[in-house]
Amino acid sequence: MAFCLKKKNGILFSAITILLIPALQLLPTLLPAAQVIAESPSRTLCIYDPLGASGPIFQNFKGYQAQALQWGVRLDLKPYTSERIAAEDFKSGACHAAVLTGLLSRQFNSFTGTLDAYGALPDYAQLKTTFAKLSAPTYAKYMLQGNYEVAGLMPGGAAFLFVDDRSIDTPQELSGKRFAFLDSDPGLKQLVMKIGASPVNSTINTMYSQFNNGAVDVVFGPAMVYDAMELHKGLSPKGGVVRYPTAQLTLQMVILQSAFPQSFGQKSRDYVIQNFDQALQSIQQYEQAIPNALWIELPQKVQADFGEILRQARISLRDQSIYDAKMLKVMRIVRCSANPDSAECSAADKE
Amino acid sequence: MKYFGDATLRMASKFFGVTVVLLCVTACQGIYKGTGNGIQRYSATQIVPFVSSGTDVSQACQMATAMTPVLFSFERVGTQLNDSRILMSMLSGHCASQQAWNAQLAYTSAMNQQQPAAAQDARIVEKRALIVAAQRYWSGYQAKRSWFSQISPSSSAVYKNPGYKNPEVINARAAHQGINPRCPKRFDSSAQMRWLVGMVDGLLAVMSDSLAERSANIPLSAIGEIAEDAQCLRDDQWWGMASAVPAMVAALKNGDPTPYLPLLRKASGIGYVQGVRLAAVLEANIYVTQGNEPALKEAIRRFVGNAEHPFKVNAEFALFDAAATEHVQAMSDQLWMRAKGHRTPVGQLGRFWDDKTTSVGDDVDLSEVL
Repeated sequence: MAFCLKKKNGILFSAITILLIPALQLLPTLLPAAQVIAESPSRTLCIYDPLGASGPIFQNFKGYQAQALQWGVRLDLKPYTSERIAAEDFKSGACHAAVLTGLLSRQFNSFTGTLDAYGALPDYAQLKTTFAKLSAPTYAKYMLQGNYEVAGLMPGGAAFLFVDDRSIDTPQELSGKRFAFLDSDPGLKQLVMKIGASPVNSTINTMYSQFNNGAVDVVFGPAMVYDAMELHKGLSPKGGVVRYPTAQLTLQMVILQSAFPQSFGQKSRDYVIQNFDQALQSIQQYEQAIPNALWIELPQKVQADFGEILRQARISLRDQSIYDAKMLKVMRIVRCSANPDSAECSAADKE
Repeated sequence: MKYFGDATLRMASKFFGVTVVLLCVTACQGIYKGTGNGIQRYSATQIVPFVSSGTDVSQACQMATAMTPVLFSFERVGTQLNDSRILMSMLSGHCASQQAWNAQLAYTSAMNQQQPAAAQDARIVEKRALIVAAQRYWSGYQAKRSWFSQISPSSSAVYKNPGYKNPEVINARAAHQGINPRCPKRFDSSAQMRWLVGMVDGLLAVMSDSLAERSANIPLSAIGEIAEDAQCLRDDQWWGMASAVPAMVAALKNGDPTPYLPLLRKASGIGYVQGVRLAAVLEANIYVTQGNEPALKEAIRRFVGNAEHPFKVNAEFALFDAAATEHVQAMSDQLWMRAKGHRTPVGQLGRFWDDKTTSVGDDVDLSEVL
C-alpha cells in the first residue's frame, strides 16, 4: 500500500510537474515588472548630444545615472539632438533636469552662463581651477537662480577659429572676412562686427557645411568639429586653425531644484568635478587629431592683441547685461593668479 | 685528420654551424611564407565564402577571435592577409559587441533593481567591451584601406593624404572623366563584398567608440569617408547599403534625421527583398539615437516581417543577415529589459509587451444569435 501510494504520489507529482512546466515557463512574462521597485523618485534628465543616445555625452551620463541612484534619485535619460528643443522641454517642465551648452544654459543661470565668455579662460588649467572653485559649497548660492540650480559643470573644449586662408594670423586680418555666427549667440555677432568682419547668419547644422563649400571664410568651434564635420574640405588648400582659444565651451547640467532632494545639487557638482580630467582627455584627443601643419601659431604679441580685443568685447557685453559681471570678475581673478604681470590685472577698466 | 689543426677544425665546425643555421632560417622562412601564401589563398577562396554562408554568428565570431593571432602571425613572414582581416575583424568585433550588449542589459537590470554599484560595474564592463569592439572593427577598416591600396592605385590616391586631398575636387575631376576615383579599378563582386564589409567595419568602429565615450579614439572623419565609399556600390546588388550608409551618416551629422528617414526606410525594404537586412539595422539605429521608441518598435516589426511578405534569407550571405538579426535583437532586448526586466522572449522578436492581442474568434460576430 505504501508502495502503491508512493507510486501514485510519484505519478501525481510527475503529472502536476508536466502540467505546470508550461505555466512555469510563462510565469516570468505574466508577472508584473517586479524588478522595477519604485522606491526612488523618477526624474527625467534631458541630454543634448549631437549624436543622440549613441553619443559620448549621453553615454557618459549612464555612469552619472547609476551614481544618482545612490543619492536616492532614479533618472530616466532622454536624448536630444536639438539643443533648442531640449531647452524648451526643460522650460516647459517636460524634463526635470537638462544637460545643455553654456550658451543655452545662460537663460537658466546667467552667472555660470558667462563661463563661455570670449577669451575669458585661455587654458584648461584655468578652466579647471574655475570649475573647482565654483563647484565648492561656498559658491552654492550662485548656482541657484529661481528654481533652477546648476548641478554640474563640464568642459566642452576650447573654441578655435577655422580660417580658409592661413595668412590670417592677426585680428586685423579678419576684417572683411565672412564669419558664420549663430542666432543664439548675440555676443559673437557683436564681436564679429567689432573686428570688422561680415557676420553671416547660420545654424549649428549648416555653418560647417557653409565653410566647406566656401560660403563663409571663418567658422568658430571646438576641435571636435574638424573630424566630425570634415573641415579638412573647407581648410583645403590653404586654410588653417588659429591656435588661440577664443572661448571655453562648457556643458552644464541644470536641475529644477524643487524636483530633487535638498542636497542633490551639491553632491552632483562634487561628482561631476571629479570627472573633469577624464572629460578633458577626450577633448585633447580631438585637438591632437588636427594635423600639426594646419595649426596657425600666434606670436605672444598677437595673442595679447587678441586677448585685449576679446576683453573689450566682454566688457561691452557685460554692460549690455549679456555677461554676468561677477563671473567675469571670478575669471579675471583666476587669470591674474596665473599671470599676475598681465596688463589687464592693473588696468583701470579691469573686469 | 692530422693535416688539419684544431684551429682549422674549430673554424670549419663554426662555418658548418652557421651554414646550417642560415639554411634552416632561410628554409624555414620559405616554408613559413609558402604556408602563409597557401593560407592566404585558402582563406580567400574557402574560409570567407564558407563563413559568409553560415548562420551561427557566435561560432563564426569565436572562430575569428581564436584564429586571428595564428592567421595574422603569417604577416610577420611577408604574407599579406588584409583581405581576410576585413571579415575576420568584423567577426571578432561582433564577439566583443555581444559582450557589450550583455553588459548593457546587466546595467539596465541593475538600474531597474535599484542596485547602483552593480549598475556602475556593468557600465564599466560594457565600456571595456565596446573599446575592444571598436579597436577590432577599426582594424578591419584599416585592412580594407590597405588591401584596396594594394590592388587598386586609384583608391589609394584618396587615402594617402586625407587631410589635404579635397575629395570634392577629386570627385569633380572624376565625374568629368566619367569615373569615380574613390572606387577601385578592379572591382568584381568579391572585391565589392570586401569593400562593403570594410565600410561596415568602419561604421561599427565609430559607433562602438561613440558608445564608449570615445575611449578608443577612432577618428570621426572616417564616417565621411565611409559615406563616400558607398558611392562605389549599387543598392540593387548590395542590399540597399549604398543608400543606407550615406543616409545614416547624413542623419547623424544633420541632427534632425527626418529628411533622411524615407531613404533609410526604402533601403531597408531593398535589403528585406534581397535577403540581407543590414540596412534595417542602420535605420533602427537612428531611432535608438533619437530615443524614438515607437519608431524603433515599428522598425523591429518590419525587420521580422509578416506572413503576407515573408522574409527569405539570401543563403550566400546568410551570416550577414544573422549578424543583423543579433543587432536588432539586442535593441529589442533593451526595450524589453527596460519595460519588463527580461530579454525578448524566445520566438517573440518583433512583438512587444504592450501589443494589443486579439483572441481567437474576435473577428466573428455572433450577436445576432444571442
